[in-house]
Amino acid sequence: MHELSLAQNLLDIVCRAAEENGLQRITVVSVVGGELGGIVLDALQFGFEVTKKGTVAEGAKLLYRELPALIRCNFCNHEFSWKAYGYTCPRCSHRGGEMFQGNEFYVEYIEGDGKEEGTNDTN
Amino acid sequence: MTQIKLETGILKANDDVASQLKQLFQEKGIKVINLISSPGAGKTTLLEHSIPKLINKFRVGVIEGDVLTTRDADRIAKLNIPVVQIETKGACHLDANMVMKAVKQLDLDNLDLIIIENVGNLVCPAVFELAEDAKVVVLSVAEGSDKPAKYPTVFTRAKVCILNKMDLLPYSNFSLDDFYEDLKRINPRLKVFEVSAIKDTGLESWLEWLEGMMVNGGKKN
Repeated sequence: MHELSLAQNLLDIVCRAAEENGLQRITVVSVVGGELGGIVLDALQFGFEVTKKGTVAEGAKLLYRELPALIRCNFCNHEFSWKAYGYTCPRCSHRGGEMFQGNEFYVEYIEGDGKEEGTNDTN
Repeated sequence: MTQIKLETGILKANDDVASQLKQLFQEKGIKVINLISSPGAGKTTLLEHSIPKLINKFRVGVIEGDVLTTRDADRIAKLNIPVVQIETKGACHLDANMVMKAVKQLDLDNLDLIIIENVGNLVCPAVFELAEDAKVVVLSVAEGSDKPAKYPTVFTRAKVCILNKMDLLPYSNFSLDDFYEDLKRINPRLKVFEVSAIKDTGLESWLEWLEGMMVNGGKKN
């Protein structure tokens, strides 16, 4: 529902980063989202396509990497999938660890071309 | 080609304002609850029946979030406590900016507890931090016992779940066994209170929890 405004946030972040780093155009925007981050990828993708027009990110591709929700057992320190096991450790059967991954939502990196590089990459 | 590492949170704009709010609430010694549920689960009714039992102990204010109308704020205002209505005009959740604006209309020096009733929506409000001490999710038995499994994010982030409309349990296909079995897996720390807000039953344990939260760092400790 709110991915259009998230896309706008995302665009603000990457455009500012491009400016600060002297990029003339952004080619890749890499986003990481946790399994429980509540992000609808299709809606974010759509929002990004709409909002990037007329900006330095106009030609940018949005890459998305999902991180699984993970629990660390607070008895034996084993790390395991929340989706598969919930909070019950599959190694020692202890219940009640800490979720240490799965709620993320951030821009990992951007790629682009600076002034001196032009648009004809050799690689 | 240049790669620039960022690792910038996309919700940073919201989180920054939430941090300012957090600091403000701490300075004023105010505890904050973010009340989340689907439309019609009974958030406002829960408040109508809980707040009268709290106001002899704590000074309570309410921020009401709705897409349109001031109907909920009108209901809460009858309890003679400060209430601010936020009309989001379409937005599916409250964000920290909206709460910051609403907070400016409250006399923070004369409040111990602010309850923020979020927009009726079991999905989006889970993601936007409002500087709350606890998210409280309300689920009504009429919605079905499969909701935690289907909408896990809010249930993983909440500290308390109010299972409301327990008076309707015999007329619904809600399975308490399935519900608790799912919660054990999704978030075993979630405290569940079974209530019927409209019948005024089962509220004592929930109010006890709330008072416990207030005493741990509230003004009147």
